Amino acid sequence: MSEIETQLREYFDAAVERVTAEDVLVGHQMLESMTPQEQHWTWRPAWAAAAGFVATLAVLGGSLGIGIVAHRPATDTGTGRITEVLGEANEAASGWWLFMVAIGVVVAVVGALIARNQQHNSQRENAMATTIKTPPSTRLEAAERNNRGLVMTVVGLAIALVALGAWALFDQAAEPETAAPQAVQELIDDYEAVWNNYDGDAFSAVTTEDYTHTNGDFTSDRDTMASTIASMAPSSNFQVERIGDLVVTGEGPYYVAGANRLHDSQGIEDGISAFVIVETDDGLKVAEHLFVGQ
Amino acid sequence: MRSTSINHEREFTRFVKETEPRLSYALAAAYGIEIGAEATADALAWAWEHWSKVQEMNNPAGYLYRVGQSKARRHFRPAVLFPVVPSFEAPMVSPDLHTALAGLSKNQRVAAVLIHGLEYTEREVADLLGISRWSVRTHAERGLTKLKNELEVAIDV
Repeated sequence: MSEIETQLREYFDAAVERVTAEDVLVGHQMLESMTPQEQHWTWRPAWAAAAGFVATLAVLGGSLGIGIVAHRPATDTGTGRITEVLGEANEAASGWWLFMVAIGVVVAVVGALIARNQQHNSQRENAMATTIKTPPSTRLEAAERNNRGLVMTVVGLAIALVALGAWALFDQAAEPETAAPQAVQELIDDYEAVWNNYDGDAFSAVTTEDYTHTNGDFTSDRDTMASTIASMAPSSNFQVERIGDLVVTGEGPYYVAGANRLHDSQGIEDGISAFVIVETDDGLKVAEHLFVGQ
Repeated sequence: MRSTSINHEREFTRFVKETEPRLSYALAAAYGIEIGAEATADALAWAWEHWSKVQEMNNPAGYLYRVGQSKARRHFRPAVLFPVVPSFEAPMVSPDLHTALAGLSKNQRVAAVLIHGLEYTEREVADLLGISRWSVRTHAERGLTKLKNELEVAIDV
């Protein structure tokens, strides 16, 4: 075999495609001769924008939908405060949708810009390619040419979208909105124990001064209710039983809803209780209790 | 106006004749045959679009090499940087040369090909790559030694 220097010269002379000034000048003229419409107008950016928007909503919307279905509140009835509680949950979902639409618009704009840029580059390169001699097919193995920047951008966006969707799912799974914070749970336990023990003094300890209790058309203040509870005769056999889990929303004040079964010597009554829990200097207290019975 | 344009084209043509070979071989050695050709075409197109600026440069070849590098980075590295050339086109080339070339570093390939294969001077290659002559010489010698070892050609330097 001949010397390495000779081999290098012969290999590169045979393999390298040469570019002449004429190639460059003709390519430039062809690009300039293209009308602005030929250079810029194409449906590709519009398709890219639409695809980006739809894909974003599909991924994020799917995540939100799964979260909503997986954590749907067990109780979905009642009026008054409960309606407010459910309304807040709907507002949170509406916020998510607006957020997703905003992300979708951003992705659509980025996709359109990338597609437009790629189209422009492609037209430019086509103009150049027509002026450069194509090497014999036996000389060079075909290697697919790709725009690395575009692919990296798309991959980055896809990773960001998947991460956002995963985060949304994880966030909802790790801390479901319907899970009662421990302190709220304990307060409601104490509140119900007060009723079951007919303890008027303890009632004041778990409620605020402006506490109100509404049952049907009757609204009572704290002192009235404390007296009522204290005056209940054990012989009435009144007991409050909770049915199912509590539903809690808000971050102080907390809005709590739960189903109750009331027992007394006259029978059983099922109903829905809704509470407003507020933070005071002495800790969490019940500020409002609405009961809607059968 | 027309004569100015014709003069520019003549100057550019002269510039390409002088600069293109070094640029083509360097970018082909650095990034592979196919991407090197694309990068060279892009760099020269850029030069024509910015001709008045290029004319005032002290080292236009070196600048265009870096333009070509930027263009080359937009592409994925192909699986085969240096394809096999049919023996009837290059009868003296070892069938293992393309594999040996792929085993060198980028600067070793450029320096070895330009200096030992195409007989450019160390100064010309140093200007092109933007590194010192000493570095060019080191890259070229290491590249050549590796190639000879790979191809088992007797070292007679």
